[in-house]
Amino acid sequence: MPAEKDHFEELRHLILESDRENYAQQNERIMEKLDELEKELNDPEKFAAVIQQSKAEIIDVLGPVMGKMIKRFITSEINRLKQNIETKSKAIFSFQFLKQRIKNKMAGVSVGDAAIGEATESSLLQIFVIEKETGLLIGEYSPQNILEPDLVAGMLSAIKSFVESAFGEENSELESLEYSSYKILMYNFNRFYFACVMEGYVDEETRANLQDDFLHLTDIKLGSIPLKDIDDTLKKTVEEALSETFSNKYTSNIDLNLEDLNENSK
Amino acid sequence: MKTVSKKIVLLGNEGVGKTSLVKRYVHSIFNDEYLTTIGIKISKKVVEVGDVQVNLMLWDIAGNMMSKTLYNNYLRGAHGVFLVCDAMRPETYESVMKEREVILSKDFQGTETAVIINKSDLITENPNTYLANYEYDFLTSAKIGDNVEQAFLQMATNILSK
Repeated sequence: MPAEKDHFEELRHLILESDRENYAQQNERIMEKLDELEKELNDPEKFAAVIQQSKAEIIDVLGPVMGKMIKRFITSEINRLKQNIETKSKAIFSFQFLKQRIKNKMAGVSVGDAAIGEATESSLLQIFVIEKETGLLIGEYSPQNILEPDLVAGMLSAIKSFVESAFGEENSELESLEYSSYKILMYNFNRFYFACVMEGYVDEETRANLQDDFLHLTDIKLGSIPLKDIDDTLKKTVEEALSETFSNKYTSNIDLNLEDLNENSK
Repeated sequence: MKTVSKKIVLLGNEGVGKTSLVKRYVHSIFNDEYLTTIGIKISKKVVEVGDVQVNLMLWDIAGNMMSKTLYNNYLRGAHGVFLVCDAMRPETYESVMKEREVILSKDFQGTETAVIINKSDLITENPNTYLANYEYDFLTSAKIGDNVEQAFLQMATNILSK
């Protein structure tokens, strides 16, 4: 028995020794590879070259991840829109809905526009009244006061001039600028123009209502104001007129609509 | 205190220091990229003349403006124009003087104009001798701030007194 035990010990020693050597060699090779890789990653030129060479593989790896993220975002936004439309459609057989449909029909608003318009919010952020000749701010109305009015009025006028000179035909004027979810609508009159900053989807009805308000304001209050000196007295007059016309108008209408829906569901 | 707003335009060749004049002494929320894209940048300088606060809206027009129509559009309605040239480059002085005669005398007769010779810090000899043949209103240095405030204040005063 002891002899057998000795043989067994000898055999185990031989096998494990060989394994240990194999592991040690493998470890060494792995460490060498890791060192090489680290050197490549720390060298911007080599790293860029690696990316350049593996462009297709990187796209293959990142594509699905990015795609999933974008898909998730779009799905969530569509769901949000769908929920809003569903909430609205609960009132589909209400008297108010039928009344609105008739009103839309008469105003030439499509069902799609009306649905999107009702499902998304649009709100008035700021109105500038700007003298055309000088680009100076005559007055402003800002429920949320987010922009520096003097400088923005000047820059808007410069951009307007640039676009009209570069792309405009004779007597044509810039009417809107869009950036992300913001829209700047411009209503041009003889001596001044209104720049109206809106956030969200602005439907045709809102545009037409704004146009009516600016026409009325110009006709009744601002059409004959002297613009020789743009001072604080003039600004006060213009800003009071703007405030009278736009106070509590074109604000986000979601709360109001929810109230309407509650009324309808009773 | 009463507040009034006035439009001031800065004209002059590329590199004379118009942007430096407005950069260090005025308030702006826009970056200089607009100068290379649409050829203009708007800044604001507030000065007090007696009991009146004057908001000077400064239109800094790119020196290399190619479109004459756009150039004239930017100039339109200006209450005052600064014609800026470089003390070290006589050709920039000739250029603004020509601009003053050809354009301003024709289309902008009621506009207040002032010639600024900038970069006075680079003049090594007596400025009166060095600039003996120049007609100018202000000798400024945007770099060290010489006369910059005075130029804006004087422009505002002249406009208000019209």
